[in-house]
Amino acid sequence: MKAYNETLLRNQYAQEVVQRLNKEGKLNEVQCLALQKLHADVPYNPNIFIKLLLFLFGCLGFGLGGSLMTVFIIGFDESFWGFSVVSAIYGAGATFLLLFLIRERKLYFSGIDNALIYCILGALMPLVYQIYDTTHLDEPWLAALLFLPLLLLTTYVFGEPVVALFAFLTTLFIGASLLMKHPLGKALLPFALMIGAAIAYSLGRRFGQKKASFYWAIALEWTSTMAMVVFYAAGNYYVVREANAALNHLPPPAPEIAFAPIFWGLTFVIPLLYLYLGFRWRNRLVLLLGLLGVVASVMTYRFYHAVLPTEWGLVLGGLVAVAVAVWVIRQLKTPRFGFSNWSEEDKKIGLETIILSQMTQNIQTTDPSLQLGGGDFGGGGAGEQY
Amino acid sequence: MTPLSELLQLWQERQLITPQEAATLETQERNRPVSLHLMLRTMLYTGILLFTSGIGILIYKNIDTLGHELLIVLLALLTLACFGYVFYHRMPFSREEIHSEGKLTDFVLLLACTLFLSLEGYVQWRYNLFGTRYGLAALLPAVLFLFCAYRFDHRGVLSMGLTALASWVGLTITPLEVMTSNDFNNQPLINTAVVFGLLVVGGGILLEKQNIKKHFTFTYLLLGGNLLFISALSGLFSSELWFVFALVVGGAAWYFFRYAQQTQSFLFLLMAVVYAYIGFTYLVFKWANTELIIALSSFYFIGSAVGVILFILNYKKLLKQ
Repeated sequence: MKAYNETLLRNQYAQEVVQRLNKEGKLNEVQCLALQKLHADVPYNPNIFIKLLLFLFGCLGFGLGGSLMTVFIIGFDESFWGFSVVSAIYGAGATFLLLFLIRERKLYFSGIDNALIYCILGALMPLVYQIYDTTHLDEPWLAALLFLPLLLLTTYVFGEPVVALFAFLTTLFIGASLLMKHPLGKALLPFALMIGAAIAYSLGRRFGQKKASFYWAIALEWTSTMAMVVFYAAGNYYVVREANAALNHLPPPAPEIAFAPIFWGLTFVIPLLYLYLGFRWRNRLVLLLGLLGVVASVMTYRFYHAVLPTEWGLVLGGLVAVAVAVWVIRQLKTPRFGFSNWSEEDKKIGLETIILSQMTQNIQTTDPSLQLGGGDFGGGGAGEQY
Repeated sequence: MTPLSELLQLWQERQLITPQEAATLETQERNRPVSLHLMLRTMLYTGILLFTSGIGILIYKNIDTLGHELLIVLLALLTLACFGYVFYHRMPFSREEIHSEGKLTDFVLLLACTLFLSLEGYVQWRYNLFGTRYGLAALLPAVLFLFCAYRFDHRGVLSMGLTALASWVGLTITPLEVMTSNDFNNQPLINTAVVFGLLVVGGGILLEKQNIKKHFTFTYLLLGGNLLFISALSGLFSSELWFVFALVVGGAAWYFFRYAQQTQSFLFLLMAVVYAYIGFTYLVFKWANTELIIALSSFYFIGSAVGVILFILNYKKLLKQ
């Protein structure tokens, strides 16, 4: 069962395409009007501020309602079973409200539905924990396993990206916990995680090419991104070394690990691979992951090898970033290799106003304090210089 | 089968586009260049931020060998160079919005203004150039920035100019710091803030009416409006003449509501509603007696939460005149 009406979602996508083509003059007016009419039925899609507000007040409303219900129904009965059962019932009731709202108000990730999905999952948690606790399972991964079906079901029904992300991470966690039981599994954990992430990514990619995947497109995108992040992190030298020390309860500093050259290699090869793939697939997100990966890898290297003092590192890094950015901007004066430097719609005016005002304020407020300090420039750590 | 080809197929079946059109549209959408604009911009900004902080630390560590004079001269030259670059690449003045696509001038102007502020602070600290005339030290950048904002059409510099202007009268206008940095226990300051807020909002509206840089009104109303509402609310909470401030809050909320309707702006509608709600709630609880408050407050707030959700879901109707 899908909670959202897929026709509406497809209409939303269609409207975006029509708008884009219309702006570029690829459709004549008659066509444009007819198409807009054909896809007129779209979900409620407010701007990001409104979504944020709806999210906050959705959570608030759920919480207030929950606390009222707790007070009225169980009164002062403080047994945990009572609480978890009431909470689960409340969550189930809220599910009906959620489905009703989605149908009536044509919500689609409008903030309030996201809030309710998370809150309902949260409300079901005490019951799951209660089962886990009373059956004395005593292994965290079993609790995760109990909760996983709920996450998967929610992902299937709603296609909600954050829940999908949690489902993916929970699965990885269960797999990792099982491996940890065996010394060999512990040693091979990074590789296992990398393989797991790679499998998840390729499955997602293959499913993403199917017609039926449209409903879960956003969830797929998020999980794929997370899979790439996990793939990089699991091979990163710093992560492996520190995690190894932490999992084996070794005191700091973390000792050298086995297969160190392999992990150093992975640390530097994977970001380059991402950059290459991002370029080949013309995928901004993968490119971005590649860039961030390069930065993370350089920092990993600097963590273990003192190459440059921080300030020179900042100067050089800044120069490299500026040089690359300027070079690419110049290259893309006309679109090349399927990339362009055309500006997207300007949506950041409000943000800019706030940031710049903040910046001016910060610089301005330093003046009086400096004047008051007079000659001795006290406080601020600068004292020793004078 | 991608969503796109499904869509084009549907349009063909409905005979809204011809098969040829479908084919061209499909190749076109497939080959549409991916825009790296935002990413490159972010990279550029981050790079400059890293570079300048690095240089800052370097200078800080080596100030003894470098000497302040050299630094000030360098800073001044850099500032001048930036202003020179902007001036050299200027567009003719226009009362409308100027679209300068793909040029660095916007960015260089911002840099120039920031550098100017640092330079001014530095000179004041080193040579005490303005003495105790702090007003002048704040007014100078304000005038310069406001001029630059209008001459080179830069909304960002406008907000910097307004901030400097506010600090000239001793106020903090920055939205995130209006609450924390201003001492609203100080009655004269509240009065100043209310008057200044009214002037900024009024000035913005007046300029819009005169058709001068209509796209600047947003900045005026956002910065001035926040200050006006918050200071008037503080007046309402603390002053003997609370009803005057209540009138100001009410009037301003009404004006912002009307303005939001005109411009279809959710942000201003939100400001009007939130600030009016705070004022109204305060007045309700001011007059209700204590036992009543305890009994009703939880219902009042649950009702408010539901009311907010209903408001947001239906705000489009409110924006219709």
